[in-house]
Amino acid sequence: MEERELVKLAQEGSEDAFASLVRAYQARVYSMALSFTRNRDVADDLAQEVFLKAYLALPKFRFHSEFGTWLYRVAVNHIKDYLRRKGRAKEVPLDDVREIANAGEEETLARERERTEEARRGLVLKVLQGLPDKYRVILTLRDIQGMPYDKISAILRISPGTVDSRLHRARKMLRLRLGPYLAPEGGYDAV
Amino acid sequence: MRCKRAERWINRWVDERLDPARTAALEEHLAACSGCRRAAQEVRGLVALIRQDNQVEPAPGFLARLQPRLREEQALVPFLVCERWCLRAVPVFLGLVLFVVGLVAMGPSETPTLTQSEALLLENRNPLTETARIFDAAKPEDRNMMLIFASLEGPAARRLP
Repeated sequence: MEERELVKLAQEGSEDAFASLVRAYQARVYSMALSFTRNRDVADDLAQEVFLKAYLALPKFRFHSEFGTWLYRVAVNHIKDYLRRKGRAKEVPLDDVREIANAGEEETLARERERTEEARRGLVLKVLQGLPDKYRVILTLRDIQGMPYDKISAILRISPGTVDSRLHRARKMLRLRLGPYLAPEGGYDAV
Repeated sequence: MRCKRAERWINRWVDERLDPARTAALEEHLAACSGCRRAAQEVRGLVALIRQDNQVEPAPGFLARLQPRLREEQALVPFLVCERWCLRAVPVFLGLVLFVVGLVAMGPSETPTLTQSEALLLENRNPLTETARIFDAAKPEDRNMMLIFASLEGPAARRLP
């Protein structure tokens, strides 16, 4: 059955239709929540709450956008509210990178690289969590989730030009904050 | 090309959104400018580092955990709707009260003028009885005089206190 039909049936109160929509989108919504929070339990709770909100708001959905875009918008707004309530995560201390760099001396080169890359990724994501909300949101949607510009524009209800300029500022800010930590040997080529 | 423009184009270049002519111009600039080259490497490296290519599945039983919560919320919907309407009704009711109070306050303040008959009716006195009583008490010549004066006065108005 097509998604539009499922949405219509769910709007009429069909639990099965809504369950099908949940199954189709649960991984995407959960992944988005996980990208923002980096905590599986919190991401699971947030994803459940997003579907609850969507279920209650579904009668008001008028097909002005795709269902997926609308659901992502519900998710992003809910996650932003959660982050606002929770407050920003602390910045990562400088020493973390040095510890990571020395940790793998006795392991094979491949495993060491893998571990270093994972540690760097974690570090970047931690720093990303300390950015202002609007930059954090756009970096998560574009660079972590890999969403196209037009979809981000539809979800956040901003023009594609604003997506472009905000992303530019967000990446610049992230680079500036990461500069002293992650580029001691000349940039990110090794990543 | 200036570095400021190159910096802006680097983001589009990394996202493969830069047209071929600008791509060529940028790559020429990157070959000559070590600062911009480094910036381009950093952006590209960062994006590659944090990109999450695969969707992550939630813990098993996601839907089974969600369904009872959906039913719970569904049961609350009528109350929520009622609460929402009540909340909306409060300002409407207050507005209505203010409107009525305003109408009363702004209403006509002039004292109405009444005819003699109306004034007598308001005082719960029958104008015909009153007139008959006056006629009975007066002498015939006085009655004639009263009738003459009454016809000359016309519809006399009396102001209520």
